[in-house]
Amino acid sequence: MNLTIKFFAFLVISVVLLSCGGEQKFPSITETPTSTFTYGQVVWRELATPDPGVSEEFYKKVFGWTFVKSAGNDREYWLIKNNGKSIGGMFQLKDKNPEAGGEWVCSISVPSVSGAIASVKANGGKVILGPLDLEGRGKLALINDQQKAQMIILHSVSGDPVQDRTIDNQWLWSELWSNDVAQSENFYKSLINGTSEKRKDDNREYTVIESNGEKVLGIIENPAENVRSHWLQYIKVKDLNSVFEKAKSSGARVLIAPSPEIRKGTVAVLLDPTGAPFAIQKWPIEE
Amino acid sequence: MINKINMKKVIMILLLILIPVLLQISCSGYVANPYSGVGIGVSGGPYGPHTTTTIRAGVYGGGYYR
Repeated sequence: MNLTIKFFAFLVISVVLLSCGGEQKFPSITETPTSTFTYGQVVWRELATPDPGVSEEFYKKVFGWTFVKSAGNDREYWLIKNNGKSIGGMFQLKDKNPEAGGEWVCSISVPSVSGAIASVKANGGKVILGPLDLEGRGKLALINDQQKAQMIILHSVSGDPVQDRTIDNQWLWSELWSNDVAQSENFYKSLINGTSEKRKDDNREYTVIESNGEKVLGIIENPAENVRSHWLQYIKVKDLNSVFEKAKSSGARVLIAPSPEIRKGTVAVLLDPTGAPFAIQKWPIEE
Repeated sequence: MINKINMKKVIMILLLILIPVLLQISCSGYVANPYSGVGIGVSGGPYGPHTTTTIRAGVYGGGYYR
């Protein structure tokens, strides 16, 4: 073999070896490892969408988010960034029912995925996928509660991200629209080993689930008729009306428009163009 | 002699093609493709293209965020 061929062979093999090593990790949920955990809290959100192009366009226009495609193989994954900071992910629904829409799937931090799975099963839920060990991400499982609301239970390999609810166009809250509030309350209390508190605002009952002294999840009676239980993710915005109008003109459908009777017109619930529900909220509410 | 050299070249070329292919296969088998599970089992949201719903009045009062 002459030198040129030897060099060419070395080059090809090196490139292949390098590509084998670098791209196989799944994106972490933290920018840098934190080694701290916020068990019971929603630590990551992923948009499962039938049309990544349409979703990307929509969230870019409305919230100014950017989407960075990870080096995928047969299934693709995008990191979603707000002002350069990773706030979630996006992937394409490929095995979905054609009648399904997009959905934000939240990941909740647990100290032990196997312990959480035992709780899911004991309380009538179902493990749909996992437990999986994803290099770069951690140990996780996709679960359904008794009413088929989906979420991921996760023990992140890099720790949990620092929660900051003061930044505009970022996550504020996660709320379950439940068709059986009492059942959901027991399920999620058990899942995160938490406690619950009943609140009444304007005569509407609101269940708050707490973990380690932090209020982490909300549960309300599902106001949407003929719709299964599902999670609703809240995004903090600076100017509610401007974002609301921008979302509508970018293809969102309105579930609940801003109204003076609901938190002084500071909140709206929308469906993105693929049908994924989300809420926008001006926070804090000015008195 | 000529045939011997040509055969050597053919084997070298074949090896050059095969080695990267085999490496690629062995790599993807060794490190489970982390993306292969993405989206599996995710049912999709309840508001599909043909879903119609009505929001019951007086039920929703906004979220609670501390």
